[in-house]
Amino acid sequence: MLELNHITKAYGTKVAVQDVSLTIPQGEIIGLFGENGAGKTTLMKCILNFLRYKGDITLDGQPIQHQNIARLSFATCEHSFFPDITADAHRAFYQAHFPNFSAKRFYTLMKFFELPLHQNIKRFSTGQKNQFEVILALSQGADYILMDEPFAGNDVFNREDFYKVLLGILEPHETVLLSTHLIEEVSDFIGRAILIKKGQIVGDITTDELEEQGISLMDYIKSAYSYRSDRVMEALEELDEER
Amino acid sequence: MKIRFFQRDWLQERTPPGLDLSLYCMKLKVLLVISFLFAQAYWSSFVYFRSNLFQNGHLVPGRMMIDFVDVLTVQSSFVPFFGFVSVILAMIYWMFAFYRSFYNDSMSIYTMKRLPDRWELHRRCLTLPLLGIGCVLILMVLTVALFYQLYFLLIPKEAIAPHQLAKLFGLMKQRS
Repeated sequence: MLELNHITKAYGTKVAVQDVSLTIPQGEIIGLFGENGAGKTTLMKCILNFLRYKGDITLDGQPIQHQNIARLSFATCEHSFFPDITADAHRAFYQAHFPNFSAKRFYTLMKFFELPLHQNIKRFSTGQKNQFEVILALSQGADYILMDEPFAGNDVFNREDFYKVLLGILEPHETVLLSTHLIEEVSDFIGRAILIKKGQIVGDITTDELEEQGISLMDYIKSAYSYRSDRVMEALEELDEER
Repeated sequence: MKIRFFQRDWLQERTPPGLDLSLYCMKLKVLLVISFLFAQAYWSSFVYFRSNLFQNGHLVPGRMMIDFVDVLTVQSSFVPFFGFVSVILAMIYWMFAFYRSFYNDSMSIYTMKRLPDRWELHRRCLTLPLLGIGCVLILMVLTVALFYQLYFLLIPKEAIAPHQLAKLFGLMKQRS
C-alpha cells in the first residue's frame, strides 16, 4: 500500500502541494484530475522522490528509497527514455536494472503498437515516443505505475487501443495512477478518481460511489471544481454590450 | 581481440546510454597527444640553458647546468604542463556535460534516479572523465620521466649538480 501523509511541497513561496494525505492500495486504476498547475505532476514527483517535500510517503510501511524504488514506474509526457539508443537497447538496460522487468510484455506491446525495435527513439514520432514511454513503464514489473499525461499528442484511436491493452494486461496486484485531462475517455475504466485543485485534494471518490449517487464523473468533477457554466454566457453578453 | 571487446563493453556500461564512445575515446587520444606535444615547450628552456654551458662547442669548465626541476618549472612558468592541465579541465567539463546529457531531448534523469542501484548515474557520468584524468596524470609522469632521462643524457655529467631527483620530489612535496 502506498501511503501519503500530510505532503506539502513549495517552490519558494509558491505552494504546489499542500497537506495531501492519500492511501493507494494495490490493484486499482486511479485517475488523478486537476487543471494545469494544480499539483498533479508535483505530487507524482514527490512520490518518486524526485523532489524534497514535507510529510511522509511510504510503500508498505517503508520510506521510498533505492531498495524499493523499482516497485514504482513512471511514464511522463516529458519522456524519460534515452533518445540516442534503440528500443531493444532500452529493453537490455531495463532488464539489467529492474529485476522484475517483463521482456515478454515489452515485446508484445512493441509488436502491438508496431514500434521498430532497432531504431533510435529520437527518430520516433511524438505519438510513438509516448507509446514507448508507456511500454517501458508497463514492462518494468512495478506494482505502482505512475502516468503523467502520457497521451499528450496521441490520436483518439491510439489512445483507445492503449486503454484496451491496459485493461487486458494489468495483473491484479498492479496499480495505475493516471494523471490526465481526458476525463470522459478514462471514466469507463478507472475505479477511483482523485481531484486536486491548487495543491489540495478536493475530491476522492470511487466509480461505484458515483454510480450509487447517480452522477457522472464529469459532473462530479465540475461540482468539485465549482465549475460555472454560466461564465461563458456572461462573457459573451459583456462582449455584446461593448459592441 | 576478445579483451578489446570486453573492455569496450565495460566502458560502454559506464558511460551515458547512447554516448558515442568511439568518438569520445578519439577525442581523449587527440587531447593526450596535443598535451604531450605542448609539453615539448620544455625543450626551448632546456636548449637555452644548455647552450650557456658551451663556448665554441666546448664545455666551459666550472659552469653548471640549471637544475632539472628549474628547467621544468621556474624558468618556463610551468608552460609544459598547460596542456595536461587543459585536458584535466576538459575532463571536468565532460563530467558536467554527461550529467547534463540526462536532461537533453528527454528527462532520462527520471529513469536514472529510479534505478535500484543508486550509484549508476554517477558511475555513468564519472568513469570516463576519471579514466581520462588518470591517463593524463600517467602521461604527465612518463613525460617528466622521459625529460629527466634525456636531461642526464644530453648534459655532461660534470655540469650536473647532485641530488636532482631529491630536488624534483622536494618540489612535489612543496606543491602538495
